[in-house]
Amino acid sequence: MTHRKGAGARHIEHPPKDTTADPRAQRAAFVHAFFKQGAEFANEIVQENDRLARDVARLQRELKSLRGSLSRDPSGAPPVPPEALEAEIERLSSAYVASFQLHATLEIEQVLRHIRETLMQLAGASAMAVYVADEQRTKLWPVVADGTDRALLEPISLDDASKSDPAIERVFLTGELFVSNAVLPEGSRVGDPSETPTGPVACIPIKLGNDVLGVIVVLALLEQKGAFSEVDMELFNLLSAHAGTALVSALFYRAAGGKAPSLAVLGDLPA
Amino acid sequence: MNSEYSCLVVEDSPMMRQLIVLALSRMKTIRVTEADDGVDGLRKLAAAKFDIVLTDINMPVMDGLKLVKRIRSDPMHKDTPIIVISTEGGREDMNRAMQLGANAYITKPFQAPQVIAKVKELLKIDT
Repeated sequence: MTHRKGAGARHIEHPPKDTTADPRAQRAAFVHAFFKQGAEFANEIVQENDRLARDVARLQRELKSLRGSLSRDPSGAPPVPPEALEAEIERLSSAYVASFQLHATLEIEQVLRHIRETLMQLAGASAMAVYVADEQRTKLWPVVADGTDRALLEPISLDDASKSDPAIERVFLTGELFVSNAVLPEGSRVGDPSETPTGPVACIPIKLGNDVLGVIVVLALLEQKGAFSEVDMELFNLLSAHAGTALVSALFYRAAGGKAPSLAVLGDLPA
Repeated sequence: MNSEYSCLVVEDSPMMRQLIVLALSRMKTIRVTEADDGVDGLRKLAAAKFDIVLTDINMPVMDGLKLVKRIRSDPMHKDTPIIVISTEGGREDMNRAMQLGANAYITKPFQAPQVIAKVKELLKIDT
């Protein structure tokens, strides 16, 4: 916007002084000049006013149009609040990145690294472990640990209650995600929210279809992470559904000597 | 005001790097270069001038704190704003990074708006 010199600062031009002229004529000339400039001044103000009124009207039209386009929804649903939109972007970004990285490799070490990083970097875990079941499905063996010494983690015996962990065992047997009440997202907690979790803070079943292959266990959270968020719950569900596929694919790839089979066999599939 | 800013993201975790780049991509005026550890970061800094640097602390080869120190001792980059992003949430970790010359400290896990706001603040970009 251009700044104009304030009309109020205008200086009244006096007619040149003519000492020889009649004082009454001088006064008349001054009054004439005064009213002439006053009229010009008033005219300028009216024009400026008109211009501002046009600008205001144009901006109001633009605002109305923008509001209309923002709130327009083909389904007629009310406009989404910005905070909800932001939360949705956050949820989708984290899920996209975690899923992208998990499936971007067929190296078993890399798959395990991405599982670890999803929990440690994205969800705020400070200690975690991955347990996998043996073929008899009687024991869960710790195969990965971060933030804790793997050698200190005991295998979990499903047929010996004294060497088991109730939360981990239940998740393995039921395939249901477990998150300690104290660290559930705000609004999802039941009972006393200040209770300190005594066992694992979260147990995520590693699923392959309906089978549970193991359990990812979050043992502790970072100091600055008070509780999980809805985004974290989404990441746990993603890990539960995708970690198994990524691990099994990587194991097959390793068994095949790190060579991908020709995709030509896909042509033999029934149409 | 620049029409485009250049940013160096130094982070060893591909997952975090992708998440930071994704967050910054929401700012249309920023061009991001990635480095996967401190030494790679120094290599990229030797090859180009950046308007801002975002770095992790815990990285192999050269950690983020050493990188901050090296950047501050380089006349070419001594005034470049640096944001440290770390899982270390303790006050002493933050103080150490700031004493070495970092301009801001963000703890993981972070949310994209936090990073965007800090980058805009340090680059003096009006929202």
